[in-house]
Formats: sequence, structure tokens, C-alpha cells
Amino acid sequence: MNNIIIIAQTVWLEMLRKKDLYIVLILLAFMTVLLTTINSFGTEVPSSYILDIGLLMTFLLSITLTITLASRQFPTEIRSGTIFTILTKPIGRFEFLLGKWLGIWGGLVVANALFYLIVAGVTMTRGLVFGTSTLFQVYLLHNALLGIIAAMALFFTLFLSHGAGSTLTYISIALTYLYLPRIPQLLMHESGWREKCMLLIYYAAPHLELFDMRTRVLHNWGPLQPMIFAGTIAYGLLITTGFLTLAWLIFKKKRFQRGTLA
Amino acid sequence: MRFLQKNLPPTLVLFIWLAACATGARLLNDSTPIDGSQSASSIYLLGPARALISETLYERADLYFHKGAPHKKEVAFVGFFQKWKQAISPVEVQHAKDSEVLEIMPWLRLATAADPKNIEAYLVASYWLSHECNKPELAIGVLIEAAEKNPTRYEIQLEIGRMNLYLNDMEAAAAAFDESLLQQEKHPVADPEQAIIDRSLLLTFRSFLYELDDAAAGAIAMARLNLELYPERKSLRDRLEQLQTEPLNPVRASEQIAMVFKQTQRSIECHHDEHEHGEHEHDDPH
Repeated sequence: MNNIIIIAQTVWLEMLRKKDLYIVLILLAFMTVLLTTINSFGTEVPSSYILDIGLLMTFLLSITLTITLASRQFPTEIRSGTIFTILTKPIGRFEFLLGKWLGIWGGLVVANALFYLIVAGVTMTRGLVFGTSTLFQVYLLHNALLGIIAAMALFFTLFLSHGAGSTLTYISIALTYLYLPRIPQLLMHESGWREKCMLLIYYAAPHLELFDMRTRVLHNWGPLQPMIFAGTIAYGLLITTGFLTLAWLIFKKKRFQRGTLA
Repeated sequence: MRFLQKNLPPTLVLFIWLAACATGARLLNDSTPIDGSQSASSIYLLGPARALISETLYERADLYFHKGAPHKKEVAFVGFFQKWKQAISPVEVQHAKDSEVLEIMPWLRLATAADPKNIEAYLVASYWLSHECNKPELAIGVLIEAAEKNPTRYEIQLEIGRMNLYLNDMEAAAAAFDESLLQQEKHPVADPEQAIIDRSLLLTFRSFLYELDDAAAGAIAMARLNLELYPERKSLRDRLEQLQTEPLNPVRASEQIAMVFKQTQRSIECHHDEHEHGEHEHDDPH
């Protein structure tokens, strides 16, 4: 466990050293404050549009940050040769992989908390009353989503380069988020083998849209039922474990040679 | 070739952006109103992207009006994951009421900022501001802004006229209706079928307003033009005959204006409630 924490700490240090997080934080704060300047035809009412656009930006920026951070982990270690030093120390490959994931996810959980504080804070200054417990659930499910994405990016970059791995992660997320939920509608016009293939994809692929419950807080629908919430978190844990297992199966057999890229 | 190899990602992004613009232009070209105020090149380069963003923001306003419940769509099956998602995100159709309606205003504001040619967003904003929110002074401001940015669209002057009827300013209403009629004649319209219906409404209002003002010649001229649009309508024939044979009756004209206003009001309310989704049930036959 100590080894996992040590590896995670190196990721946290990297997060603090690199400028990505600060840029995202400044960008989010600037854009959220900018939203308060919108004059809605002279109407002065607390509005959830700031929370809506702010949370949308938080989702997009945190996903981008996760992919950027996760997809460079292995390729950078291999390119710089530090992976040889680390793996010769008494650190197992499983510990190394899990440490990396924990570092990325843990760092993003904290960063995400800052994002939510900015958005919620700016929204509250405009007088909007929203369910804080619902927002907390949104935050937790959002974190579960980031955990999946981090595991996915780590998995892809174990057999692809940095660029290809991150691109494939972006494409996978876009497809699972935008295309997958529309399959029941698209199936209205399909039949035969296409229908079967689409059904297979629908049930086999991870449903990332389940981790987005912003609608509930934006329209004051109240918190999610505990059983459904716990079930969604468990589903997220299952997908994350699945990707980490796949990553470990590749990683434990992977042979590294000095001077080669991932 | 080396330059292309080195700059492949930005080149690809530029190419995709140009392709998207061209596709958007192609898709929107048929529905873009030709009002003579834009050059063809500006429609192709900026119009599609702005119109698409504006439409997305307008749809967001619609979503807020329905308190987050999306429009129902036909699906081949309702599976496990859909039920799960429905438990997480609401699907029951509800409508915002009273001050809740104000929640849609920022989205409409953003829609008009993204594309000032999106007059539907202006008209919807002015409607809800004047009626549900009881802020007619703000509604008039919205319409004035819309008219400044779309000086050739007759629909805005029609709505300004209706708004003035609502505020009981008959003189301003008459001026706006005259302007609207003039714009219809001077500039091409986006929807010719709707333009004829609107022209009939304009002529009806204008005829009654002339009668209210004790101006027989104007009332008759407007009623005659209205009959030319729909020669088969008995009510329009009767109206013209009445104006030609009987003395003017300003009290009756005032009642008729109120009645036509209410009728058109109801049709607008139904339009706003039903637009683009058929899940609402109405007892009302229209």
C-alpha cells in the first residue's frame, strides 16, 4: 500500500509542477464570472444558467485534464527511462499501475472540488438556491466518471503512443456519451445484423451518461434515491476495475527496451 | 510536404472546420431568410455556425420551460439502461409558471446574442415577459432591439403592434401595423404561407383601428384588401358590406379588436406550449 501511495504522490507532485491545473482553474473562474455579466433583457432574477454552463465547463475541462494527465503517464516514463529505475525497485507492476491511477484520480477529485466551489460560489452570489446535497451527488458521480476515464486512458496508452491513446480516449468518451444513449432511437430504422450489432454495443459498452445527473440540481428535482446512487457508483467502480484489470494484463507482460517509445 | 507533415493536426482541424461550415451552410441555406441585409458570403462563412449555436441555446430555453424534461422521442425498445437513466434524470413533462419562466430569459438572451437574426427567440422572450412575467415595458424593449437588428422582418412590427394593443396604445399599434404591412410589400418573406395569414391579421387589426378612429375610407380599404386575400370567406365579405352600408361603430370596433387579440393570443399560447413536441394533450380543437 505504501508503494501505491508513493507512486500516487509523484503524480500529485507532477500535477502541482505542471501548469495545466492552474490554467484550467483560471479559465473556469474567468468564464464563470463572465457569465454573471449577461443582461437577460433587463430581468434581474437568480438563474440557474450560471450553474448550468459552469457545470458543463467543469465537466468538459475536468475530462480534458484527466485525459491529458493520464495519457502522458506511461509514455513519459518510458521515454525518459524512469520506468526502469522504478520497476527495478521493489515495486510491483500492479502497485505501479494502481499508484498511477490513484494519483491521477485523487488529484482530480481535489481539483474537481475546487472547480465545484468556484461554480457554486459564483452561482450563490447571484442568489440562486439549489440543493447542496444534490450537487454533492453530482460531484461524486462526476468523480466516478473521471476514475473511469483515467483508467481508460492508462489502458490505451499501454499499447498506443501518447497522442493516439488520448485521441482514442476522447473518441471513446464521445461515442459512449453521445452515440450510445441514442441507439434505442436509431434502432427504429435498423434491422438484421446491424440491429444485432447495435444491440450488442448498447449492452456491452460502458454507459457514461449515467454519471451525469446535472439535470437534477439544475431543475431542483432533489437528490437521487440512495439505492440508485449507490448502484451507479458500483457500476462506475466495476467499469474502472475492468479497465484497470485489462491494463494490468497488458502491463504485466509488457517488455520494455531502452530507447523505445510506448 | 514537410510543412504538411509538421503541421498535420492544425491542418486537419482547419480542414474539418471548413468542411463543417460548408455542410452547415448547405443544410441551412434553404431555411435562411433572404432579407437582403446579408451578403451571400457572410451567410456561408458566419451564418451557419451562429445559427446552429443560437438554435442550440433556444432549445435550452425550451428545456428550461419544461423544467428539464426532454421531448419524448420514438424508441425501438425501453431497455435497462434507459430506465436507469430515467431514474437519474427527470422525464415527466412539466411547465414553468409565473416567475419560473424568467429562467428561460438568459438562454433566449444568449440565443439572440449568438444570432441576432433568430427572431423567434426575440418574439418568445417578449411574449413571456409581457404575459407570464407581467413586464410589458421590458417586452417592448426586446422588440425594439429585435427591430433594430432585423429592420426588414415584418413579424417584429406585427408583434410590436400587438404589444401596443395589449398596452392600450392604439396609435402606436396602428403605426406598427402600417410599418409591418409596408415591410411585407418591400422585402421577401421567410415563410410565404404564414405571411399571408399574418397579412390578413394585420389588415383585420388595421381596419378595426381605422373604424375606431372614425376613418371610414381606411377601414374599407383594409377590409377590401383582406377580402382579396381570402375571397371565399363570408365573414370578410360581410365585414366589407357592413362598413360600406352602415355607419361606423367605434365601440364595436374596440370589442372586435379585443376579441381578435384574444383569439390570436390563444393560438400563440398553444404554439408555445406545443411547438415541436406532440406529447401535450389539449381539449382545444385548434
